[in-house]
Amino acid sequence: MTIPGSSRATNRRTLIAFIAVLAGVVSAAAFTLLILQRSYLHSEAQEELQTEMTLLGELSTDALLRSDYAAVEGLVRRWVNRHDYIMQITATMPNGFVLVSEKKASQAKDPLIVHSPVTFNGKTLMTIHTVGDFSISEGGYSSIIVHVSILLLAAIFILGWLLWWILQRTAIRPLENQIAAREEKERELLQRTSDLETALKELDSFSYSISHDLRAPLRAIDGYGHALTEDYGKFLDATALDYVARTRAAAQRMGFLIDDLLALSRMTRRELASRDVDITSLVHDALDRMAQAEPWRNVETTVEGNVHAKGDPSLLAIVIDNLVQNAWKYTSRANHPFIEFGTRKQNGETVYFVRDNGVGFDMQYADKLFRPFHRLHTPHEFSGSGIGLATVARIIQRHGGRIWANGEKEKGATFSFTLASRASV
Amino acid sequence: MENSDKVILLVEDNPDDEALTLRALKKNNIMNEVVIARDGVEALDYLFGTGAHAGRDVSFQPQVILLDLKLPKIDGLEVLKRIREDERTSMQPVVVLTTSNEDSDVITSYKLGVNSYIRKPVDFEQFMEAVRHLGLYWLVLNIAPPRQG
Repeated sequence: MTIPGSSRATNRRTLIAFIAVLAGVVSAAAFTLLILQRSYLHSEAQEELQTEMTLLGELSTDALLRSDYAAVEGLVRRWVNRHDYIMQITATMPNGFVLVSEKKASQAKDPLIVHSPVTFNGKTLMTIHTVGDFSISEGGYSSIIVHVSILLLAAIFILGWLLWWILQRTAIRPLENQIAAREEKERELLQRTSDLETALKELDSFSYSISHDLRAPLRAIDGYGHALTEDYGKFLDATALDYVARTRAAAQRMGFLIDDLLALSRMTRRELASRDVDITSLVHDALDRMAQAEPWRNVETTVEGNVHAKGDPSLLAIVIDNLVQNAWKYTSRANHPFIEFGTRKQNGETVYFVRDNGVGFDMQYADKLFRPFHRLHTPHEFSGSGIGLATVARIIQRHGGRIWANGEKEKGATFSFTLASRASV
Repeated sequence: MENSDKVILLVEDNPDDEALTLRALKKNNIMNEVVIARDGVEALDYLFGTGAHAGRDVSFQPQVILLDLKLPKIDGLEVLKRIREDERTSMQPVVVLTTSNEDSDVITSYKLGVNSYIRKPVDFEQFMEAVRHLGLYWLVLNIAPPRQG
């Protein structure tokens, strides 16, 4: 089982990882853009410097023609002082005379190098060589990086927060609630399962004490009744002996009731086997047993051949035994007793049925037939504990099938049942 | 019936069942001496010559032990287990004679090496019949392990 706290933490971790990946991707894209931008800006700056140098050359032309070198030097120096990013400047005359040489730094980090000859009528008057530093120039690279980085971080932060907020609202919170609800249900289910297990264990110990503790006094009642009849029978009259006999019969009957009840409870707990069961031969066996027990009875029987089903062999034998026994019992007063076993197809399902022409029953009590201890006949009419059909119903239920009965008073009864389809057993 | 020197150990806590079992034995003319133990401890004391039975000659063991399962102090299954674990009694015939027919009791009894498992019926006539068979089989037909020591 998952603990709600840990699943929530997992969610958060997943989201954080997602945002980190997102930030990574965005940064990489921005970085690529910056590199592309940089070469563009660099060539822009180079061109601008070139233009300014040309302008400086044009301004100096007049003074050069007048050979007013001091004026040229002044111009160049003023120009240099106005531009912080110029690292070096050298103005050289064609004859090799260096007019101006300024060096603010020996090396530029990101150099912009421009050679600009000053010409007049195709004749070179002076050459200006300039080294500028792009990294500290106006619109310089490093300041761009700083600005873009700050913007990027802000964007990532805002985007991430927005994403988190939206996800929280739309997905995570509802999901968490759902998970919490499901876990709550799971816990309830576990609790109920353990309650059920406890109840089953209690039932087990209950049946155990029934079989031990309730039967022991019955044995004493029957045993002492027997002893009384045997040892003191000669002192008792017929009525007294009858009372003792009734007492013993009642004790024995209660013994059977307890046994049947235990069998019914065992039916519920037992594990089911799933094998191919020859129903036809089960019906024949049951009928043979009945015929052996009451050889004087003459019952006509029809049994469909080769009927097989998948299920628990011993439990299905109990089902068939009970249904055949009932049919046998309740046809005992019929003029021409008749018992039939067969199958029919109904909505794609196989329906197994046991039909008889016995005393039948009133359909308005049909649902009571399958309840334990409910009987439609007095023990005087027909003996029985009223547990047989409850057991049958329990077995059919455990096989995933249904059982029902149709009947009419004095015209017979039909018990029909289905079993789960072969695939699902 | 012969062999009346062969002792039956009846381990039974319910006085009614004890009386009825003795009656069933008597009615079936089984005259062997019946030693009665009313709980698991008494049964083991008798078998191993301890407690109230200290000093008993334990080389002499009952012909058959009739053992109820639900007993005070030490229950029948535990008694059976100790009988089988001890060399002096490991071969003694033990018949479980009880009310329970729970599968778990039957299976455990056989796993522990019981020789026979009989469920006491409510009907006393059936019980007499069971005791008759029991006496005939374990006291007359069956050859017990030879006396040890």
